[in-house]
Amino acid sequence: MYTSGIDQKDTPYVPERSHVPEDREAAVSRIRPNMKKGALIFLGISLFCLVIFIIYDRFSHNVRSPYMTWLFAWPLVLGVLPCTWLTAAGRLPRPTGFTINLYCSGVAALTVSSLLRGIFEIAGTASPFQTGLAIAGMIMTVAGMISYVVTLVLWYRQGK
Amino acid sequence: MEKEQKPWHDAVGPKQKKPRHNWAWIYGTLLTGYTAFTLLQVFVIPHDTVKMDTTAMASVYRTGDLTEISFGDQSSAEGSSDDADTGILSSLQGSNETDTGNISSPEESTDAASGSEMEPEIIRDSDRIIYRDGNMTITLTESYQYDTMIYVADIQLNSVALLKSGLAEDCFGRNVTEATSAIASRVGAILAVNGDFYGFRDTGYVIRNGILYRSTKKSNDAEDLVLWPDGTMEVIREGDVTAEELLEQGALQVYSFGPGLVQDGEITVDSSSEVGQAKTSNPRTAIGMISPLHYVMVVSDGRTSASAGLSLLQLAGIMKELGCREAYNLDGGGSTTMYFNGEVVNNPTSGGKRTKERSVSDIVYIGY
Repeated sequence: MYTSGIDQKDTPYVPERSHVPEDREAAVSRIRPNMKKGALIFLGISLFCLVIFIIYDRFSHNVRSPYMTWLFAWPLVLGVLPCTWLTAAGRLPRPTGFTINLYCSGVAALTVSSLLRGIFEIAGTASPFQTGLAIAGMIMTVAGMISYVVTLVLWYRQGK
Repeated sequence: MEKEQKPWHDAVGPKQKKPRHNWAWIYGTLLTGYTAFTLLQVFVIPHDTVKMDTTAMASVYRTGDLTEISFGDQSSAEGSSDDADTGILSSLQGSNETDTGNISSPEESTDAASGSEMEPEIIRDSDRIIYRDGNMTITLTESYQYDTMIYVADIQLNSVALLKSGLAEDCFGRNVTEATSAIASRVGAILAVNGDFYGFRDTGYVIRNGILYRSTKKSNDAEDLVLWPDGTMEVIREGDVTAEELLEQGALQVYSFGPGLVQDGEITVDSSSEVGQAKTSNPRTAIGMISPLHYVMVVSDGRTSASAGLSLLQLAGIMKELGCREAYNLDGGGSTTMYFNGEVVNNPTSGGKRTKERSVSDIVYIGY
């Protein structure tokens, strides 16, 4: 239990070591099913992207764009792999809701941006709106990663 | 006073309740809306439109003076027609088979061209159609090479003012489109092919009938075709000159699609050359200059079992065989359309493999 001191308001919260292992275990135990579910969702999106490519390819007169061909790789690499890693790693803290929203929004923006780029390249045109979406996607994805790194650092420090 | 200690993970993020996915719904809606807007903006919504101002055209188009420049090189014109006969030629089907006389000699053509009062006549025989009036002679032939149906229009003009560009809805702008035959019919074209479909892109020089519409460079290596007032055509690189400089130098037309197929009589593409992500077999449209005021327009069918389509190298070879000193690839694929004497002569394959004419931004045409 936490015992308040005289300068309680100004003193940063430092957990007693005796509490950490139990709570850490509790947090870690929640990450597995969530990340497993996340990996499956991203896998489904990846397969959906593959289907889009196959259908689009049938009607594009053999005109191809790598952004369309490799569309499925965005959710696979940026979604399935990290989730699988977190599931396998196990003893890591669960990302916060903010982190998950930020990161997933970034991956979604990158995937949609790649789809648009593929469509435009096959048609022989381009759009600054697609470029803007790609940049926003990259920023959100990197910000989500940084956010989780911050979470990891805090977790590690408090573990000590 | 004792306070219950927060578990460690509250410091790095509160224990999450069952997610309500508010953000996912909001973001998903925004992303869908943004995607729909982008697609509409690129493919559907007309914007950046400028009405074509006929008073701002180059003087050669405004005055209609057709006697500035003498008729083109007749000897090379004859050679071109002979070249066009290679392959299996078949007669074109038409509705005006009123006259099936002998093909006139080049000398007769010159005489005819010099007299601008001559009544237009159309001569059809087994392997070609000839349109002739006092200011131009157009010979249309059809051949089958590389498993592909190819249509060649050999054009001899009395003045560069007869080679013009037409814009969809008489308007410059993105996503302003109209079928090639509709534009050609409206402007009274005798012969027309689709142009460079400038309205599908935001970059690339656009000068039409002596008016500068767009001066944004596509890239330093992008090749454009320039029509000069003396009737010559030249393939230039956008990195070498600005659109404003081209206009100052008197460029009448600048098309930005490419690549250049033939320059100074030599083929400038190879088997790996392609337009964007396109593959080898496609319908194609090309324009070339044999000599000043003597041009050829070539289109090929493609994407069907009856006609495979051409690679750029094959197309360049055909242009060179026709005797072109300069030749340039225009927009192809579903856009490829040739219009002659009131009808579409090729089989455009817009909309999958169906024969359907695609709406385009612009045409290159021969007419008054």
